[in-house]
Amino acid sequence: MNAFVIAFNRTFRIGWRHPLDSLNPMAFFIIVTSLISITFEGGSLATGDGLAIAVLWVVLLLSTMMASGGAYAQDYEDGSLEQVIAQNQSLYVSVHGSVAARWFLCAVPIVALVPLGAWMLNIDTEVWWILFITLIPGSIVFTLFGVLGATLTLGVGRNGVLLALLVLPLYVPVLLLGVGACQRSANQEPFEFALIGILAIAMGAITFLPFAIAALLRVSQEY
Amino acid sequence: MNWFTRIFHKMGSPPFFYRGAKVWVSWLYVIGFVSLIVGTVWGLAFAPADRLQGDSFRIIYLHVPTAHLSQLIYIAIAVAGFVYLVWRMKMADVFIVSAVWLGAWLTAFALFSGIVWGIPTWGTGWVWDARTTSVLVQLFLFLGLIALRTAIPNSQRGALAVAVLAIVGVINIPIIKYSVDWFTTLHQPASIQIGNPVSIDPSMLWPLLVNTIGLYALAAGVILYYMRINVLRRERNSEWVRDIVDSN
Amino acid sequence: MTQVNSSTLLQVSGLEVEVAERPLLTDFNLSVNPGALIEIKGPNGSGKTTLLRYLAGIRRAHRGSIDLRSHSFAYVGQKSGLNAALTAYENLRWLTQNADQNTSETELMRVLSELGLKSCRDMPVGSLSAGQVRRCGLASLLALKARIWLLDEPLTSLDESAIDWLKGAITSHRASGGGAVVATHATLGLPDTETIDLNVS
Repeated sequence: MNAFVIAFNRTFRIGWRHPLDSLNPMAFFIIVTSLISITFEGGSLATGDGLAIAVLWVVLLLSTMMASGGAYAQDYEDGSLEQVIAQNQSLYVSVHGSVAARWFLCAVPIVALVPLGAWMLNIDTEVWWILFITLIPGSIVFTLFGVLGATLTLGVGRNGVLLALLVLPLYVPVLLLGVGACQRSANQEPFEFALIGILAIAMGAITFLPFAIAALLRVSQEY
Repeated sequence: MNWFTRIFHKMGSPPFFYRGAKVWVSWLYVIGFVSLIVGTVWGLAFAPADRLQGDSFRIIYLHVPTAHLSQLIYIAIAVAGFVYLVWRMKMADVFIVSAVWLGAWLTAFALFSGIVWGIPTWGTGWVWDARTTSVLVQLFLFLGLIALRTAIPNSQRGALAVAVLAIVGVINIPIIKYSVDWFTTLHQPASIQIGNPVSIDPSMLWPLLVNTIGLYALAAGVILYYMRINVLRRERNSEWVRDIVDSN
Repeated sequence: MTQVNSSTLLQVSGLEVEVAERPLLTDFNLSVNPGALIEIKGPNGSGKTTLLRYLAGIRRAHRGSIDLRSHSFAYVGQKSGLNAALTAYENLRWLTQNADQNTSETELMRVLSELGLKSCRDMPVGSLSAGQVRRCGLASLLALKARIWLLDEPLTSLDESAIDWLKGAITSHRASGGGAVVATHATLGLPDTETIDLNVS
């Protein structure tokens, strides 16, 4: 069987047995969004869609980072990672499968909550579709960088702050392009450049980051 | 290319590096200090004031060289990371470990001096434009490299992790520049561009060049100094380090 | 010790085993022939586990070579390699898929019942006892149908009956032309065992 399918099935099945790993970041997303929504209503912040879109993106980014930050920690501890490395034909392909499953488990549920968040933040419904179009490739990039951060810190212990320090700077371009595209779309301005930019970054990340992740997984065993 | 590969291999040998770098450190310190003093005094006291910005422009004598140098150090770290990834050359990792703190300080100073320059000149210390944003992200990346290297005690793993992060980061910086440029831009374009006619008066340019040379030399000296220390620390169990310790 | 012949299952020559960037063993040679049982002994920290991880390809050799001659192998390390959320059956099936083998469901069930784990088939590994987890890890030896077995301290947390089973399994594995390399501080006490003492070499 293909290494992609094997890794996907396994990661997805394990994720399915740990529903809280997906539900907690979803709850985090809703709680933070409502906190911001409360302060918006209470304060005198007369916002256009611009600020609300930026807030939504940042909250989604943080939730996705937290959700994907635990990648490979279990495999590292229980020894299945060494079985993969010992037997595997292509770690690169296997990483792809694992990341894809993680995207379904961690990012897709949060992206599915975007209409709720957008509604809470009073974002114009006309912007919703562009939010989705940019968030789908955007969340893929966020997941990939999250898994990269997780493999960088494998065995260091569950150090969420370190993960954030490593990963958040890498999120900047996609965040800027994504927020920019949505804001410009809200103002009926052209945003194609940003859309192409996000797609290009997503393609690049999908192609190259699994190499880095695979190399880090391999060296994580050299103790 | 024969001499190049020969030097490349020799640089990879810790004892050769340790002995060879010794002379360089002192010379680089001398050149660095002298040029920095000359350039700074020249720039602050003797160069003419700017027609539009008055005396506040003089901070470029520190701001511009540090900003350029910090960026150069980041790129050098990424290149060293690549060398480490491909050839597993230990000296590349020694370079990264030795340069990363200096890079972080220089980046912080570049940001700080930019704020100091910006307040009297543009009326605001901070503008989210391409250069400021990318320098800020660069500072975060430096801090990430330091944190990661400290968190992983195993030096092989730590070295590889830092190398990967440095490379991913260096790819990110131009992308950030493009995306911020697209987002918005509010800064005066860079004055010194390779290949472009220089738009700054020579009487102002000379101290800048002297200072740049001085800062680069000093930074190279500091990095080499720390590289020598780190090489000794890493090779403490090897023959040649024992010989050096015994002979002292 | 290093008779090379065409039927050799595993050939190690000139291997340098390093721990924390310091060579622990240099110029290590080993050949595993069909039917051989090799016990690696040595005090804690002598590099037994690390050596086995090199043989399994988990660590890459920078100096020397490890030639498996494209034989299949099974590695049971000190970590079980089993995910706590998956059932015993799912874990075993994954281990066989991971080694690129298509072991049928009935075959896997036969292996599980041979190790007394039939009733645990659909229980998550996290709810099993330490000994049962260990048995489940050893079950992968049978499930993988590998020519070479690499075992790291296999006797840990096994009861009498499981130890007897393991000895029997190794004996029949050898009889069918397989080879085994075992890192252990207590000998298995099987006949024709080759012993390598890492402290001496």
